[in-house]
Amino acid sequence: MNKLDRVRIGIIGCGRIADLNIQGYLDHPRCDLVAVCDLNEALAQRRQQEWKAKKYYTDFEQLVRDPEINAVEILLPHRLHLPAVVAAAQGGKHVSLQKPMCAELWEGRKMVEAAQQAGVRFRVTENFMFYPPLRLMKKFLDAGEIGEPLSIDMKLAGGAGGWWVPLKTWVWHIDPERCGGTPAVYDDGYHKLSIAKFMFGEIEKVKCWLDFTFAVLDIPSLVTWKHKSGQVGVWEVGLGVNLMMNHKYYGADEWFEITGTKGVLTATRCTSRLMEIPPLILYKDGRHTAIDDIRDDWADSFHDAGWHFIDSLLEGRPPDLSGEDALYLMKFWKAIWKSTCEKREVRLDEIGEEKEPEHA
Amino acid sequence: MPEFLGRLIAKLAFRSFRWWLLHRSDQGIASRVRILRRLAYAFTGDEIILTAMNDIAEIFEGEARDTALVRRMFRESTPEYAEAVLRSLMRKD
Repeated sequence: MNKLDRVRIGIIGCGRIADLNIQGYLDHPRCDLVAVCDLNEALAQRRQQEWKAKKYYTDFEQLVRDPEINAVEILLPHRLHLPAVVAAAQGGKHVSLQKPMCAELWEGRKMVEAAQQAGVRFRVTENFMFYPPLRLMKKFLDAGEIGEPLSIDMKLAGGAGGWWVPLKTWVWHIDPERCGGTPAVYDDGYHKLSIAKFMFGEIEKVKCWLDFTFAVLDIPSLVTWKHKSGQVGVWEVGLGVNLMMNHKYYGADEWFEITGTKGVLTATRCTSRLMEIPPLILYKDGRHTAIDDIRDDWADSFHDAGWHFIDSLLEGRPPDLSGEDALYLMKFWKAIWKSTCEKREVRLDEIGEEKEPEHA
Repeated sequence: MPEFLGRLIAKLAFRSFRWWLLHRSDQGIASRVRILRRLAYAFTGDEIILTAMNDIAEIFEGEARDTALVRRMFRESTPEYAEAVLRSLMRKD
């Protein structure tokens, strides 16, 4: 695939998360923000002014036909992912799609095929893989700093607080039909499943327990899995009903811990600032080493994810988090859901790609 | 609005609000929220409160599917969580 001289991007969907996803596109020296698009015209106009885009649209079908644009970032509700990705690919635009990829695996497969047929790059972006402490954690891991890795532990603490998110946005997120899955383990979980795969590769099997709070939130939950390379993983999802998160993004925080045969790596301060401890800690040989001279704002991860996409287009190489990678993570989710429903251990190779229903 | 006042209002109002939410019609709720929205804005001058109440009114004017979800959630919610959400709305940082 040819290298681009400049990336001329269009942003499809100007809601809350766009505040973060836009950052890398605004300050990259070889990226121009050409247009923004939102069904809400007032919002599209506001974003056009705020981000100094050349123009705005209220229909993504129009944006993807704009010859000035050569790539798009799609930040739409999940049920619109398939038509938007297919339209963008057919319009010859390289596509970065906000996670999660799809509700059904056949939808994801259609996206991948549309991009292949159009000869455009396609990635499904998630920011945690670009969070600097987690990237450094991976480097330490690969360098053997903690010996042979044995396990990964993740924790999500949800609470109240954070920035304003329109209530209508929350409502479609808690509707499994429109969200495509559950709000915590499916939607937010995409980040965690992505980190599990980033650290240790493919998954052999999963076993899970999901409970529900206030009828619609799949919290508390416990997801466990085993990698093909032998490591085990656990993700605990909790909600403190009166836990106030005094931070500027969402009312949640995460931490990650990897244990090896001779050390432990701990990464914190992901979404929020629940614990004022260094963002990355390495324990080995009886000593703690705090790594605190590292960018650790959650927005940095979105910024770097944007730069990664631009750089990959400029250098003519496939970006990380390809469509196939995303399909794999969706299978991981499907195995989690199957394990929950059937109350048993589920191997990932049990999850096949179902065919597109005829009425779709 | 001071935080303690927000907490007090949340505690006192939660049960009666939930009862009201579960028993009034969608349109009835939407019209009341529209009226309350103006009062709340006049009293607090808070844009977030205005936006939140506008969102609530639009949700109840919209699809029955959404309001069924909201009611399902409220049926099981607790005063503590409502208080935390309200406190988060009142934050000024």
